[in-house]
Order: sequence, then structure tokens, then C-alpha cells
Amino acid sequence: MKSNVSAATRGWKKVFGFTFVQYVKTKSFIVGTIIVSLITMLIVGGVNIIPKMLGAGEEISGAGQDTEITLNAVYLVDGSGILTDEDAETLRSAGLALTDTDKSESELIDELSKAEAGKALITVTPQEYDGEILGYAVKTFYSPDTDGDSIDAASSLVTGMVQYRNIIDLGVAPEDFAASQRTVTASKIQAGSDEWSVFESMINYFVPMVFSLVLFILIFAYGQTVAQSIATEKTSRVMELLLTSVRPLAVVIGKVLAMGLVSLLQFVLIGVVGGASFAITAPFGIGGDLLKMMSDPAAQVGENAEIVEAVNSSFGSLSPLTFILIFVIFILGFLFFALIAALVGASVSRMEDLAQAMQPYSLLGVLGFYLAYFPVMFTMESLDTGAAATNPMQIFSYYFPVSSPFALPSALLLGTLSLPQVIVAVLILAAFVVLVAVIVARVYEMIILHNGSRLKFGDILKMAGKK
Amino acid sequence: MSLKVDNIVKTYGSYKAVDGLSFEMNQPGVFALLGTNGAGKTTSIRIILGMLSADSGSVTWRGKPFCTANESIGYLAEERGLYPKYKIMDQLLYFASLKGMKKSDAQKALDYWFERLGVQEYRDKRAEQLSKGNQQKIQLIAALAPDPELLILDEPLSGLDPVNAELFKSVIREEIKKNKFVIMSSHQMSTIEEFCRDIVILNKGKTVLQGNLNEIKKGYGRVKLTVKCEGDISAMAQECGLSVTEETPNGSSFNVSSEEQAHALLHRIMDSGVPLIKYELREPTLNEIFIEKVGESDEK
Repeated sequence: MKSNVSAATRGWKKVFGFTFVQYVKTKSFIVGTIIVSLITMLIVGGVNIIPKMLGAGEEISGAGQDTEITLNAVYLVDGSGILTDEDAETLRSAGLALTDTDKSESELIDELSKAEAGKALITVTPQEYDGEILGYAVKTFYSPDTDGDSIDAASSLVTGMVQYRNIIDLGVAPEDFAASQRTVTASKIQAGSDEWSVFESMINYFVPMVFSLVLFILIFAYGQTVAQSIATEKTSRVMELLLTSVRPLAVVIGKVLAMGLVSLLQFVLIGVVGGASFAITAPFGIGGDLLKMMSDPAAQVGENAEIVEAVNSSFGSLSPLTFILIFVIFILGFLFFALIAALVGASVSRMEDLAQAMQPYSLLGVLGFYLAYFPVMFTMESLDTGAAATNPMQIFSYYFPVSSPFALPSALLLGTLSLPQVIVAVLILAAFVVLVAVIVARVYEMIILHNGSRLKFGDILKMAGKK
Repeated sequence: MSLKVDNIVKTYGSYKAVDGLSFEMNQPGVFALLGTNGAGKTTSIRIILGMLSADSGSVTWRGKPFCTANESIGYLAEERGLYPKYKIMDQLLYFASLKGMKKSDAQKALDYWFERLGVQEYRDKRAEQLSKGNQQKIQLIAALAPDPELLILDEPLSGLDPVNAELFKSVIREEIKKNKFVIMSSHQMSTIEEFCRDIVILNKGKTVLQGNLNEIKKGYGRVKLTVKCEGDISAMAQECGLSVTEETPNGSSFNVSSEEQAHALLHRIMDSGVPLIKYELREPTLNEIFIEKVGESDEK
């Protein structure tokens, strides 16, 4: 048995070496890698720098918490009469340049529309129903080109002041105002589920999505390349020459593993470029602020503390075993799809038939991807409930071998599944890889030399059953 | 005994592609595998090469089961195949490495064959940039570079111009001189006659004729008569019991049952005084034997 396997696979290393070297020398690989690396570099750099340029990240770094109001004239029209002179003085002392006026609201709006930057009108109107005040509306009109942050700050100041006066007028002592503003959050958590903060929900939403997409491209796209490569060898009759030296199984093994390595190499290259881009732009971007926040306990206050806690909670269980398992899942997933693709490539006698022959393979790949991708969307409900939202479809995608290569790595990374659960999922995937490999070993020799009408998937399975 | 093909059978569904093919090659030389299109030649070659497994029968080389991975074998397939996008040298080195050649030995052998076949300038070109004839030369190099003991040439001269066909023939002659075992399949019967000692003719998977070509021809005897005269000899031929099988500018052809029947016609012509331009009594050509045997097989 062992010697049979050894004879059937002898020479695979030479096929592997040749396929790998020749593929990485192709223009499509070189140009494709350069383009994707450049795009990755720009995206990583852009995501890092652009938000910083737009002012984001100041909360993280601690800067910008007290925005300086640069408005040089603010007209306050209090139609509700709630604000007192004392309140107006408080607003002035907070930096609001309140300016007296005799003009009506509509005249002021008209004036502002033509005025230079730095002017604003803030109106306070009561919202009444049946003679009873239900609330207050604070509207801020501003002249063109006025600084947005100053408008936000001015609006916020007046709104806060209205809230304050409303509470005080109801008889609350000023010193109790802060206590009256305590918030209440509501969560609905099924007993036994984890609790997620907003940031944990977001991490558990984006990480699986990004991972499933990247893995789909790496596994599925390179599987297609295997099919194309084998179909080219068969239709160009090179296969006949190869088969005078090696068995068909050795050709499949060498080719599939070579393309797997090409896929990994491209992933690593793009990852290195992305990492380098992050490292270079971090000092000037939001990434640097995040890193600083993660490493500086003093910066971990308020919302920042929640972010740090979410990151630690989501990725806290990472270990070398996690990365080994992710690598194993990638290899198994690649083998699963690439072996099927190899069969498809071997089933055609003309390159023109390949696209049609690939349809079932494409369907299988897309099904796997969507099973891994779509259920993740439902995790967003955790933003409302606060409960960890791993739905049954998501659980199914971890164990189903068509989707598990795309879904499992992020589940491992985020600790969604326990180690025994992951091992069961990996074993199921491995069992299916072995099943596909057995089918390939049984029928590949027959179909690779078949010429004429294209073999359908059913024909291939019949062959496997008969042999 | 070197190569022994023993009663191999291969069926596809209800269709018998090869039905009990047997032959032996006991000494170096060229063995011809002949047949019409679809007769089972390529299937037989694939079984000999181990690409296909036979339903029954065996192929042995020097008394042991034949295994391409273990033996030194060169194969020029009927339908040529090279990687269209890869450099010629890269793919030839790859094919040589699969045959177990060291890179330095392969390089040396390839240099020789590039020079011998006059294709040095194509070594760094992609296959798709080469003409069909030059691609065929590259294929032949792939088959010959490992210096195989057994060479299988399936339609080696098809598609070649006369100059390159002669070049290929000279290479094949050199290989024969080097005591190689060569199996050749071709529809060009003149080429087969030029090189082959033993033949098998297949039709619809079955062997319809097999043996040493010279002996087969001798077995037929000199039964093909061609006569060219300046006058009409049809009446004289009829008197000798002969009828014209073919009329060409080279003369009239007859099938004779014995040399005496041919000589009788010659005497009559001489006696009649009709000027005789050509008189040829010969054994049938392989082409004639092939057509006759395949025809007989089809009638059965």
C-alpha cells in the first residue's frame, strides 16, 4: 500500500518546484501582486492618515476635548423664555460671543446667509401640545464657511444650558444637576451568553467579514488557477509527455501544493507591504494614536478604556496554537477547493469548455463564502442588545466544510469557538479533504486522458463509484 | 527478450479499443504499429507507456512489469504538446528532470540536440513563438535528451517539410545505429518500410497482420506486375488470365498469381513485337498490404 502511494506520487516535488517557479515568473502574478500591494499600501496609509487629517483620533489621543469656539457673533433668540440673564452670562464665559440684536429671526437668517464666516443664530423654541411644554428645540443657523466644530460646540453649549435650566426650574438643586443626568443603559442577554460592548460588537462584525473575504480570494481564486493550469496541460497535450515520467496523482499534488504556496507567498507579500505602510504612516495617523492608547494606561480613560477592553477581550485568547490552527485550516481549505478545481480542469478537452465546467465549482465557492459572510451581519444586533450575537447559521458555517475555511479562522482569532469545537470543525474539514483526495486519486488517471465531450460532475462521481 | 506486450485488452464501455494485442521486441531496431484512424494505436501506446491500465494482459521490459517511471523511455506524441507561455529551455530542463537527469547532464544533452536539430536560437523563446515544425523539433529533443533505451515515435514526420523530414529521418537512423528499441506509428508507409523490421497492423482494435516485414513480403511473393508498352497489350493480358488493376502514366498494373503468369505475358509481348518500355515484377508494398489487410478485415 505504502509503496503504491509512493510510486503514484513519485516526482511530485519536481512538478511542485517547476509549477511554483514558473508561476511566480508570470506577468499576471508579478503585475497582480504589485497592483494589489500598491492598493493595500494606499488603503492602509489612507485609513491611517485621512481620518487624522479630518480631526478623528483627537478623542483617542486626548486632544481636542475642549474645542475653542471661534464664532465672532452669536445671536441667541430664546422663544421659550427658559434661559435667564445668568445663563447668558454663563454662556459668554464659556466662550460664546453673544451679541444683542433687535432684528427678527427671519431677518437674522437672511443676514447670515450673506454674511462672512463666523456668525451664527441660535434659537430656542418650546415644543408644546395642548398648552403643555413637551420639550425644547435648539436650532443653529450659521453663515457660509463657518467652522463646523465651533458650530457643534456652540449648539452643544446652548442645548446643555437649556437642559440645565429645565431641571433647575423643576426644583433640583444646582449641585444635584450632575446626578440627575446619570444615564441608564438597557441590555437583553440570554443567560449563558457573553456580554459585548459596542466596540466588541464592531470587532466581531468587521474581523470575520474581512477574514472571510481575504480567505475567499486566496483559496478560491488560486483554486481556479489550479484548474486553469491543469486544463492547459491537458489541452496542450503536455500532460501526455509528463505522464511518461510521473503518475497523474504526482502532477495534481505538485500543482496543488505549488499554487497553495504561491497563494501564501502573495498573501505574505501583501501583508508585509500593508504592515510596512502602517508602520510608516502610524506616526502621522490614527494608527499611532491607537498604539499609544493601547500602551499608555494614562490614556485609557472613558471611551478609550472601553476600546482597550474590547480589543483585549476579543483577541485576549490568542496563542501560537491559534496561528498554527489558522495555518492548518488555510491549507485544508485550499486543498479542498484546489483538488475539486483540479478535477474540473482535468475534465475538459478544450479550453473553451473550462468556463462552463467551472460553474459548479464557482457555485460551491460562492456558497461557502456567503455562508461565512452573511451570518456575520446579524452580529450587529449586539449593538442594540449588548449580548454576544453568534447565530445558528454562523455556527453551521464553522462546521460545514464548504464554508469553514472562510469562517473558522476569524472564529479562532476572536475566540468565538472553544478549542474542542475548533478541533471538531477542523477534523470535519480534514475528513472532507481526504474524501475529495480519494475521489481524485480514483478518477484522475481516467479523466486526464479522456478526450471528447466534457465530463460532467455526475460522470466523474460514477467513475469513482465504479473503480 | 526486451519488450513483451502480451495479449493486452482495453475496452471503453462496450467498445473494444484494443483486443488482444501481442508482440515482442527481442533486439534493437524499429517496430511499426500501424492502423487506420481509431484502430487502437494510440491506446496501445498509452498502455505500453503505463498511462492507461489495460483491462487484461501485460507489458514487460527485460522480464519485469514495465514502469515508465523506472525505465529510460522517450516519447514523441502524435499530438504535440509544449507549454505555450514558458521558455523552451525551462520546459526541456523540467522534462529532463522528471526523467531523473541531473541539470548539468541535461544541459549538455540539450546543447547537443539544439545544435543537431538547428534550433539553438529558440532556447529562450516561448513555445507559442515557434512554428509548428520547430515545436516538433523541440518535442523530439524532449524525447531524445535523456538518451532513452526505448523510443516511441507516434507520427514523427507528420506536418514536416521535406528538408526537416529528412533531418528527422537522419536522427532516427542515428538512434537505430545506437542500438535503440524504437516503436514507430505512422501513416506514411514509405517511412515505415524505410525503417521497420517488424510490424503489427491493427484494425478496430484487432491485429490483422503481424510479423517481420521482409518475411511478410516474401510470403506474398513477387505478385505485382507493372508493364509499359508503346502499344495496347490488354488482349495479351487477358489471354494470360490477367486484368488491369490500375492504369497510370507509368504503365498498367496487374496482380499475378505466380511469376510464371507474369513471364508468360512478357513472352507474348516480346513475340508480338510491341515495343516494351517497362517491365517490373515486384513484391507488394507495405501500403498495398495494409490496404488489402484492412479491407479484408472490414469485410469480415
